[in-house]
Amino acid sequence: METVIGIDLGTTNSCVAVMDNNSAPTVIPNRGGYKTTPSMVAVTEAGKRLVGHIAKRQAITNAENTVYAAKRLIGRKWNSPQIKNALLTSSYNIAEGPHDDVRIVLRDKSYSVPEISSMILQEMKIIAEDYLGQPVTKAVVTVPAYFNDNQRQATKDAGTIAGLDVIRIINEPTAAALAYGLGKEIDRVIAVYDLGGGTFDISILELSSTGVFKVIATTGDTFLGGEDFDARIVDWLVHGFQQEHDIDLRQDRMALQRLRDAAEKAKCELSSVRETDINLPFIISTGRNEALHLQRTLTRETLEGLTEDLIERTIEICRDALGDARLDPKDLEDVILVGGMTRMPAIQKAAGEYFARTPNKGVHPDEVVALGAAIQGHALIEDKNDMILLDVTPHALGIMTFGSHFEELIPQNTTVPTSRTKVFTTSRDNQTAVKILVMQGENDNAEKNELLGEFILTGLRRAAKGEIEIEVAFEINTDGIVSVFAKDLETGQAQSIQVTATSGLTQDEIDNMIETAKDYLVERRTDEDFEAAKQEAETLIAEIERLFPEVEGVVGSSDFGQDALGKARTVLEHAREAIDARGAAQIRQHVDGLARTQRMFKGVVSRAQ
Amino acid sequence: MGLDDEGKPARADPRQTTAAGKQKLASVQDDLVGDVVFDLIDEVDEVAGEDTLNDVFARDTAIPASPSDELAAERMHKFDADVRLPNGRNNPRIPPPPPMRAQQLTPITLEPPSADLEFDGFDAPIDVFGQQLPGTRPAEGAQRPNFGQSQMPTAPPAAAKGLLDQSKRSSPAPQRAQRPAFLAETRRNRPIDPQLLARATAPASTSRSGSRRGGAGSYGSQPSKESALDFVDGLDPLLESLPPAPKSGLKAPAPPASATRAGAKEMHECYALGDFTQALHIAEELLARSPDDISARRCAQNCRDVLTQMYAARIGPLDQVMTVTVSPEEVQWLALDHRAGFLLALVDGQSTVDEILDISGMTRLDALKIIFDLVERQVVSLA
Repeated sequence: METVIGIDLGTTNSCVAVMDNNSAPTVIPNRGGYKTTPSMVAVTEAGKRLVGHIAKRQAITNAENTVYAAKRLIGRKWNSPQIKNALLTSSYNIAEGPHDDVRIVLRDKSYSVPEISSMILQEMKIIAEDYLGQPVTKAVVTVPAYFNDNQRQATKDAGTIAGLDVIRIINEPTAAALAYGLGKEIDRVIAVYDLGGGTFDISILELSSTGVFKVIATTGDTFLGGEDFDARIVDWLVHGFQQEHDIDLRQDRMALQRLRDAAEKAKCELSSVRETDINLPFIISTGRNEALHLQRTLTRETLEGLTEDLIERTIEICRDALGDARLDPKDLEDVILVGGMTRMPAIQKAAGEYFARTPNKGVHPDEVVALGAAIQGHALIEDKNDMILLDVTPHALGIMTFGSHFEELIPQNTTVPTSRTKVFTTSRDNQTAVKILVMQGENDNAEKNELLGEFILTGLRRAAKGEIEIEVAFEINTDGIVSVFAKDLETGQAQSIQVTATSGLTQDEIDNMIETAKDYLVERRTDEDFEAAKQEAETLIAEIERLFPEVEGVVGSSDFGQDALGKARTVLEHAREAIDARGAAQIRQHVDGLARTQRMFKGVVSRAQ
Repeated sequence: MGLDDEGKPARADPRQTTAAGKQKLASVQDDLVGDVVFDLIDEVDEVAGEDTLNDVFARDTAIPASPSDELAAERMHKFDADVRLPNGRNNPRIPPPPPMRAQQLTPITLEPPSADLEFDGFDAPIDVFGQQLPGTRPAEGAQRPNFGQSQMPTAPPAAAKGLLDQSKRSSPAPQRAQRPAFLAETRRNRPIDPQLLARATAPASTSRSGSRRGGAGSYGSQPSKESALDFVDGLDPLLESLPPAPKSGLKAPAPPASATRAGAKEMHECYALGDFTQALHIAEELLARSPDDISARRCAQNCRDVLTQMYAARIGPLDQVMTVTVSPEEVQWLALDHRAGFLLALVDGQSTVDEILDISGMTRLDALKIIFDLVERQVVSLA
């Protein structure tokens, strides 16, 4: 049976999980042994692509060519406020795409946002394939509950470019709830407090044993996360150093990179110990041919003092979310902590105090979303209906009416397929046409919701306002395609529009990107094959060379021995030539010969002893 | 014979057929220069029609194995004149050494790859591996001629110890006890061809390197004193005439054309002598003042390429994993600069040299130099 992986495509870190043979979800570590991989992509001066930890380690020294938090941009329109904000804050270059979408320019090459996300997904796919030892083509990918259809479609496109068939997109809080095994038997209302590396989300979910995990309210801050905590530590270090040496470490990129890395490490350590040493030798040059060291001890109390307001901000947002859901903390039956930052004792304490209950933290908070995605993927393949979430509309759908009011036709969390109809009237006397603006969102003010499309119904009879009746029908099919119909009930004249979620990429563009991604994969695999073969051959060569003098001493005096040694030299020479030619297949052809020679040499040496 | 970018054999040096002495130089060049000059080979067509013997970039092979006999003799004579004086620096023909480099060139705080690559023992002959030849200690009180010493390591990394030992055994002692510093530098600076390394390990009877070193005595023919001093006089006015480096981003005034020409000449000479670091230094200095100087840009790029190859070759396969071999407590007692400290912080026992180069945020050349230094000092190990 085909394996489906679950991917938590995070703003700052991503994680991949799979169901193991015992039907238990397992997080797959990357090559460095880490269970999460930074969602960062960089291009080096030499044009080499870096993804994950390696990209993060040069994020400050190569800031212009390192993309982080691409998730904040995915599926957004060029003119959206989020993109305008990103233009001001991003260190990398953001440009307008050909379809009102967003492009990221790295070393003079332009990439779409789904393309960048696809590089991260491709990395997760490779991690899974290395672990499983088989190709992986299907995945369940998680997205924030507030993602609209375009953002979800863009995430799907990213998966497609990465060579993955994204069989389901699920909400992150829903995945977390699944990982905790919630919603299996009883209906309940829970809160998912998700403080990740770059974003904070609080979601109130109504879990139903029928398979619908209803998002009652979700809110958050897309610029509040672990990085802000790191920044506070960096500030503290920089300030202390400046007081001592009158040097601002922020002016030096290398120093700042080291400070960031050290701050994150210290922060993680302080979740389990009460104090930690930060030791950064040769952090900066004095300009007098010497370098200074930075050495400080950070205590948990100091960290909590430095970040108190950040923790308080998350609680304020929780208060807002419960207000939106018209609930009190005591109405909640469970609180789940998600995101690596929730390991911090002060956060656990604050959340526990606000919700008046001990938060559920049985599953690793930075793995829980990926685990939930893996559970869902497995259920979809196994056809376990009791575990399968129903496809629901993530946001309400409706049209804009007079006074910029949003009139909802299909509520949020409605299972698809579905259809709804409503009758509207004209708003002015002698109005002969109406403009139907199809929107998605929950805000009563239509302008704050996402515009999906628009069309005009003309030929209305001239009449007083409110006299002409127009029927508007919304229909969502199983593929998530939204069709909107408007019909003049008097004349029967009708007009319609079909809205398909788009990532801003054409099919041709996606196809080209798929080919590029495949080429990259082939190139990378070839390099890896070569390295593996080379390592194997070099180990054998080294062993043979080590034994050579001894063997020569034993058999070198005989003709037979000279012949054998000559052949051994030839084998070594050919193997080295193959290594120089960088051909994995060529090297492998010589590995057998090397292994035989090594065995023979070992035999000679052991007999001589 | 070196290969060009497409793997074709480099064209023969036209000078090989001009005179017997130059034929010999060409053969030495084949041994020493190796593949590191190929970047220049394609440039020949661009300068067709110019004086190909005077323009180092116009030659098929731009790096001579050693200076021509005339130039060598000229410099030898000048050197002898220096050391014969009680204080060479008081020689009226040699201007006192102004701190020109420190003031005018961009200071580079890198540590040299290793002590033996610096200009210590500059006036003692060394072998091709940068090792001082036996019985050739520098004269007491000898002053190094002011050639504008680079602060960056110039010489190629020293060869493996085993090879050094063997090469010493197979090499006869030089005929002259002292040779001019620039000759020593030239030989040290020359990139080491792997083929040469192999030959160096061969028995003395078949090694051509022995004859090269023995040939040092041929530099004994002394040219006139004037010609030797003219060479120095031709350099120092240039250095003095270079305006100081701009401070805080202010654009420096354009240097006089004569200074630029002299700078270009010195750059070409350094390049021809194999002093790639110095050539790079001057090229960058010229580029800072004239960013459109094509010759300087080309020279700078070629120097970087050559130096990068040299350091990469010395470090070995770049897929080796770097590991810190000293304890964190000991690290702070090392004499490192902040760039080396940064690179050291990137070494995690998992990343390869190539990965460290990718994430260093430095140029490949700078990062390779630092890594080489760390390896030489056994601060990090490669496996």
